[in-house]
Amino acid sequence: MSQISFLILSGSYIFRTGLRSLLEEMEITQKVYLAEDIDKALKIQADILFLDTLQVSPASLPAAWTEESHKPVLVGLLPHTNGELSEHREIWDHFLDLSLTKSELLEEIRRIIRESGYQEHPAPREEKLSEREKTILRLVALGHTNRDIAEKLFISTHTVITHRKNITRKIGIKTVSGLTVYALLNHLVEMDEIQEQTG
Amino acid sequence: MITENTKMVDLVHRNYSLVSVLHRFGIALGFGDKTIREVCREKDLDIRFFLEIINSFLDHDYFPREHLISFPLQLIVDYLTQTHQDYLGKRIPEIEAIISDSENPCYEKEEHNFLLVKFFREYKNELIVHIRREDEKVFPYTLQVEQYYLTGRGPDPLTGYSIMDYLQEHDDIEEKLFDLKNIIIKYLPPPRNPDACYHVIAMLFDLEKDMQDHSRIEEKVLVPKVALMEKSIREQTHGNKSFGS
Repeated sequence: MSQISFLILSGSYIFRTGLRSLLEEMEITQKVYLAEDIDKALKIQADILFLDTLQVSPASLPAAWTEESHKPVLVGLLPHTNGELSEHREIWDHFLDLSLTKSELLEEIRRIIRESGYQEHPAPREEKLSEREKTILRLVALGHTNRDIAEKLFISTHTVITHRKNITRKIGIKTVSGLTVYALLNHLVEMDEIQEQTG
Repeated sequence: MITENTKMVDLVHRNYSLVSVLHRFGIALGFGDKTIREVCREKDLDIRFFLEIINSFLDHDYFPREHLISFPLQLIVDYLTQTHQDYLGKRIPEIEAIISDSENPCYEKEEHNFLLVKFFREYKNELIVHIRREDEKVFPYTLQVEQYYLTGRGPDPLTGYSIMDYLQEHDDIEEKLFDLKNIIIKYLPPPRNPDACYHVIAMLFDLEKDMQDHSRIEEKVLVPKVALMEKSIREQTHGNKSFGS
């Protein structure tokens, strides 16, 4: 996984939005979800959860967060340096002391990310299209539907859709007409071919 | 947070994009030291509605609010219609004029200018269709629902069409604008006329931001408000049977 999603659970507006702005500074951040209470938090799936220890007691942790198989990383938010958490320490993977300075906080969060097995800086995304993707992009630009393309290339529509998702992710273009412009600029198709199709 | 005692000038200093929001309310620059209250009185505007629109524009977390839901739909619809006119009457023609200026083309090669203009016109045409549909079909429908809801009079609006059908269509317009930005930023070659391109990029980002705000009002205020009224009408007059399901 190249990027990480975070969830911040706290009843405090200041905690939530403050921590969010820190996380959004990091390159690896894909999405930051905010929740005021456990009910809201449970509807969200994220990789690393920051939980307000004043609000979430280890005993009240929902099973979804503690089951071994798909467990997110649990970080307890400590409002004070001397926050005592003697009982059930083992529930938490990490703690974050909210009284730290900005650079200390960022350093701590980076450490948590590293120790949780994520790359701190995501590898630069591979953006070159494969030959297969180029073929599909060409057909899209020529106005073929997913089903047409599947039939032509003897693959399932599902596979075509997966290729198209990857194309969009790689080049950052979402619509068919945008893809057509991209294909023209990169000479995957020529203008007269397109005009033949539409004319 | 903006209140009725805030000076107009401070509003614009805080976020210059509000100038176009003010324009939709018929407020032009040159406020002197007037406060929001004074200007709203002069122009006979609903202050509470004005403040909700301004605050929601400045703070995205401000929505959704009970308040806005309580305003007459006509106010919201008028505002949204004005926004549409701003897009089609002003912003889009301005961008189009720059990129299709053959005296001073953006790019060296004819084919690049051609592609940019072609893509932009496709976007424009789609936007026009979308806006027409809202102005001519969706908005009148919402007003009809409101009238029926309040008075029980007028034609029964619930004949198949529901406000939820309308939600589905926003995406493609936003995606095309996103693509347009990327085509200029990433894929077309460095321009022959960089100033024109900077200008176009700035206008596209402004437009995108304004449209996000516009969609937020539609999706978080207009649609929920109408959906509530639809539900109530359905329960009262249609006896909660399988109507519309």
